[in-house]
Amino acid sequence: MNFMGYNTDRENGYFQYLHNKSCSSGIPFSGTFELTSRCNFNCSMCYVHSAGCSKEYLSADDWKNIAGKAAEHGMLELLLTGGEPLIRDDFDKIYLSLIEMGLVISLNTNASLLTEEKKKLLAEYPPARMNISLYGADNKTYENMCGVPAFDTVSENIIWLKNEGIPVKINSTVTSKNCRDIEKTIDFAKKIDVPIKNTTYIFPRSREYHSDKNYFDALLTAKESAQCRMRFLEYSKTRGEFYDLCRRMTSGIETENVHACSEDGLMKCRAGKDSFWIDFSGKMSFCGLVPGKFDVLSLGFEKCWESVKNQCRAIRLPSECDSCPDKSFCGVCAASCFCEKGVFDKVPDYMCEMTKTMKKIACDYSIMSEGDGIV
Amino acid sequence: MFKLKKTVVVRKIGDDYILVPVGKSSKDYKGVFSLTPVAALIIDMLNIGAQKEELVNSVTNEFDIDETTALKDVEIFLERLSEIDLI
Repeated sequence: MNFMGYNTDRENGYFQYLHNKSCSSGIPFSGTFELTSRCNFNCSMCYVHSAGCSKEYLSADDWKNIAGKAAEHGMLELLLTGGEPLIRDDFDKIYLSLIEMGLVISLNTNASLLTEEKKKLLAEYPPARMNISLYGADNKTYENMCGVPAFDTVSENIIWLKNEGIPVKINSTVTSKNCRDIEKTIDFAKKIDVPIKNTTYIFPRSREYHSDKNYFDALLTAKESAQCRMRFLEYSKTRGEFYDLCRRMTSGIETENVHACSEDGLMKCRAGKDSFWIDFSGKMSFCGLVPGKFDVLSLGFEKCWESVKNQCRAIRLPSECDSCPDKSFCGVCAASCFCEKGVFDKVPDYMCEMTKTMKKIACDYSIMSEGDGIV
Repeated sequence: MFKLKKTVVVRKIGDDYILVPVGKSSKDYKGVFSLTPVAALIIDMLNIGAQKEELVNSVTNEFDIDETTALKDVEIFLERLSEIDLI
C-alpha cells in the first residue's frame, strides 16, 4: 500500500489538485507578500516601485504574524515579492521565520542583490523556486530599462542559482526599451536550460499614478505589443509547435494562454478563490495589479480574506468578452479591465486590439505553414 | 518509541494532510509529501512519539481493518519513513 506521495511538480498533479479543492472550499492556499515597494532598479513600467521611498510599512514581525494566521487558514504556497524583496535589511529574518512554518516559498527577485551572505542563506535554505525578472541581454539594455547596468551581475547570479540546484524561472517583461533583446534573452535562457516566460502587455498603473514621462515612453502600442509577443512565441517554440499554436489561435481552440473570462462573466482565474495578495502597506487584494482595500493589521487576516472572496464573487467581466471568438487566447482578466477602464465590466481596448493583432499575425503564419506543407 | 524528526511539519489543508520540509531540510526534499488518511493518523501520533503497538491499535480503532493487516501496514510505513530519514 502506498501511504505517502512525494510531490515536486508545482505546475501539475498534486498541487493542481490542492488548488482545485482550495478554490471549491475557499481556502487561502496561495498567498503573495509584497515585502517592500523599494527597489534598487528604477524600471519605468513598474507598478509598485516608488523611487526615493525608504520606508518599510510592515515590520518583520508583522509579516511573520500575518503568515502564521494565513497558514492557520490553509496557506501552503507563499510568493515573496516587491519591489525587490532582497533590498530589505531584515529580509533574512523574515525569510528564516517563514521557512520554519511549513510553507512552500517562492521568491520574485531581479537577482542583482545576491551578495555572498544572501547566497549562503539561499544555499542553506533553498526556496521552492526563484522567479527572476530578466530585463535584457546586456548591460546597455539594463541601463536603458532599469537605470542600472546589471546584466553581467544578474546573469552570473542566475547561473549560480541554477548550479546550486535551486529551481529558477525567468520572467521577461518587454517594453519599447528592451524589445530588441527578445531573441537574445531566449538564447540566454536556452543556453543555461532555464524556462522563460514573457509578457508584452504592461498593465496600466492602477495603484499609484505617476505622470512619469519614462512610463509613457516605455509603453509599446497594442500592435507592437502583439508583434513582440508573437516574436517571443515564434522564437521560443519549435517551428511545428508555433504553427500549431497559430492554427489553434485562428480556429478558437483553447491555447496554453490563461484566459480569465468564463461564460457567465465570472472571473476564471484563482484570484480571490484560493489566492490573495498583500501589498507593502498591508492591504489585501485578490491581485497585485488591483489596489488592496482591506487592511490586514487592523481587520485581521480572516476578515480580509472573506472580504476579498466576496469582492471577487461580485465581479463580472465584460459581456462582450463572453462571446468573443478570440477568448481562447486573449489575456483579458479582471485586472486588465480595471487597470485600463477603472471598472471590471468594460472591454480593455488595448488588450482587445493586441489580441486581434495577434490573431491576424497567427492567420498569416497559418497560411504560410500550409504553403510549407506543415499541417 | 518512534518519533517524527523536526525536519518536517504536518500541515492540514482542508481535509488533506501534507508533510512539508522546514529549515535546512528544504535542501534535501524538493517537494512535499501527501498522506493517505491512515498515514495522517500515524504521522499525527509520531509527531508526539509512539510505540508500534500504539500505532496499530489506533489504526484498527479508526479504520475498518484487522490487526494483522494494520501491523503489516504500520511496519511498511515506518520502514518508508526511516528510509527517507523522517523518523
